[in-house]
Amino acid sequence: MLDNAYKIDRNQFKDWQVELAGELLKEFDHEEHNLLDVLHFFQNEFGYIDKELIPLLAKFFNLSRADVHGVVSFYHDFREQKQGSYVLKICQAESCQAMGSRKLTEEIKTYLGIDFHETNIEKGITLEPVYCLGNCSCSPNVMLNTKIFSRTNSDELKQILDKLDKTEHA
Amino acid sequence: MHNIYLPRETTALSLHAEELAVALATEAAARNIDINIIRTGSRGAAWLEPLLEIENPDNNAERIAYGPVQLDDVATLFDADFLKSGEHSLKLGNIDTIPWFQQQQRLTFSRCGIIDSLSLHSYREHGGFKGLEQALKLDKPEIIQTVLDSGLRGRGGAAFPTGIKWQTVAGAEADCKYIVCNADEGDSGTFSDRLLMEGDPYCLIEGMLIAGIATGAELGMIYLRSEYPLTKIILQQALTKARQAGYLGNNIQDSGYNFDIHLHVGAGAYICGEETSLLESLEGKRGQIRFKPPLPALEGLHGKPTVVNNVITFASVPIILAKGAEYYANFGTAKSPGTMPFQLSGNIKRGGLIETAFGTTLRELIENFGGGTCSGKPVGAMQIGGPLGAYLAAEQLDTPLDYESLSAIGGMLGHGGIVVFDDSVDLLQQARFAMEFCAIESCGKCTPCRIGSVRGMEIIDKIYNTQDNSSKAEHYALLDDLCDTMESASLCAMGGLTPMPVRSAVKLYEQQFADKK
Repeated sequence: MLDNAYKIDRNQFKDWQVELAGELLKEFDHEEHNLLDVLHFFQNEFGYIDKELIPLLAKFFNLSRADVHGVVSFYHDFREQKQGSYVLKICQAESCQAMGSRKLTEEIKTYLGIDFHETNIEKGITLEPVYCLGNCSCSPNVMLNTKIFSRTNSDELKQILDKLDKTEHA
Repeated sequence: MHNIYLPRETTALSLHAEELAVALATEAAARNIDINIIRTGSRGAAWLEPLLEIENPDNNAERIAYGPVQLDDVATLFDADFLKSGEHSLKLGNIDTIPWFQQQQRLTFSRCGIIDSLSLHSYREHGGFKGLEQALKLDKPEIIQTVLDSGLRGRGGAAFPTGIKWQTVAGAEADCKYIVCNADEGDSGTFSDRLLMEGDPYCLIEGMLIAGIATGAELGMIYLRSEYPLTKIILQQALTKARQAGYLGNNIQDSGYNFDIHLHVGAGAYICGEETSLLESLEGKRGQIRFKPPLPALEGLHGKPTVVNNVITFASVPIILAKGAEYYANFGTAKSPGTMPFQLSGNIKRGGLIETAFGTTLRELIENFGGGTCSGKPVGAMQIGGPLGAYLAAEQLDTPLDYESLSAIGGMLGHGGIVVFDDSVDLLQQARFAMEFCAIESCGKCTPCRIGSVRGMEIIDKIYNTQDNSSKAEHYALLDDLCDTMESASLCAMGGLTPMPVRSAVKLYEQQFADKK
């Protein structure tokens, strides 16, 4: 039963194709205020914001490429590199700090052999910091794709990471 | 048929409530028992989640609670005949007699955790849309006067009187106005917006709708942070249902008013909780803050008059309209009227959301409700009001929680988050983190915030690495000077308030250092 509780769906992304992106973009309208929604959409489709998308969006919204790049680089959510099938976000904010998130973070970084914003290719896991998941009364918290694990520790987390479906990593 | 209430809410789900729902259904089917699982929000007792409530078949107003329920408990609960309030080690009894709930004063959160979050029928049954009905009987200035009389102050952190903001927007001449809900709840240690949106989304919709009617706006926007994926799903479902039932759209409930709400999801920038940065982000731009004036109330979203309020502010409005300004203002203190959802987190035994009148003390919350630290060690420090709030010492536990009392001791209430640390906390490290957080999340528009925060980290690192007392004193003097600059020269609260946790944490660190000698 508990195994079921730890089952995480893998991220599945399409391979980047500029022609396909152009087709998909036709679904949106040209108002600039849609830019964030559009970026979220493409990141969900392809897993990251490919650099070829920047001029495409600039033309579509009648903005400069610098404007679009400025938006992509401003927000922590938007990635300019590919991500793994799993993204592990460890909360770095105060409530989780009070419950040992600093130690947890170090142990998981060592375990995965990577720092924040990096991907362990073999395991298909990308590690990211996050500043509050809004589940502070059950700290420390991590988010694995869209699932939150609360009151966690590195032993439990390592077990969860070991059980992830490792077929076909990006 | 037995009615079982189980939250569909982030905390409960992080403790496997979804798997629990499946396990309950499977076990019931295997035993040939007919159950109906109703998904609610959370009552805010995170320490009891997943909390199961069973409707007493003889008295359907009474619910018997069991919690926290693990997946392994399901079979034994059935064995103990929990559907007929059988005895079990997890049995908590009648939910309404549990002191943790009984001792609260729930106005804004009166329905949260009790009703099926997405059922308009149960929303109405529990007093929902009474505020809207009342608002439709009043003319616009009367609605605003009621909000003014209630003394409601913005619950996002700045505590600006809500009625005055609405009055400004109502008085502005424009072809179009907006209602914007700030649901970018980024402060660590806060989750009241999330609980409200997941547990009682129609209450937020009703509050925004009343704001629209009062100010003449026909479009509302909810700016939700991307770290809340479940909240997004629940809000989308609630907005669709409200639209289908004629509570959003054209000619709402035959009133002649039009109002709709769009949901927008942020992209992981803390600064977008600042209202002007939020507006930039809603326009599809980098979330850089704007100079004020012009105030957003006059030139806000797309340059139009805009009400920007926090989730809890909007959600407090329906009950004010329904029960009257006086009813609401009778709670709390003279300058901080009403109730506040305090959020207790960090190193705490019984954390969660506690709604009570302003003026209750920190000790009451941390010791009585919270049961002390989770580690069992003494309280070392508390950070109140998010990452820009001050660190307080255990000696300050008797401080009443209202806007004035906290500001009198150099702190702030902010969005009502209280993060508890035990005495193993390294406060110099916390001071460094405050600078680091500012460096990571600064929008970059003004120098004191963008550069000051980086210099601040460097100075604190030097303090760490210096053994020599005279150079340490120099570093402290420089840090103090830097804090002065950030406080007085930053454009917004990000840079302007970062010195608050830095200074307070350094002060406590020095005190503790002196005590140890």
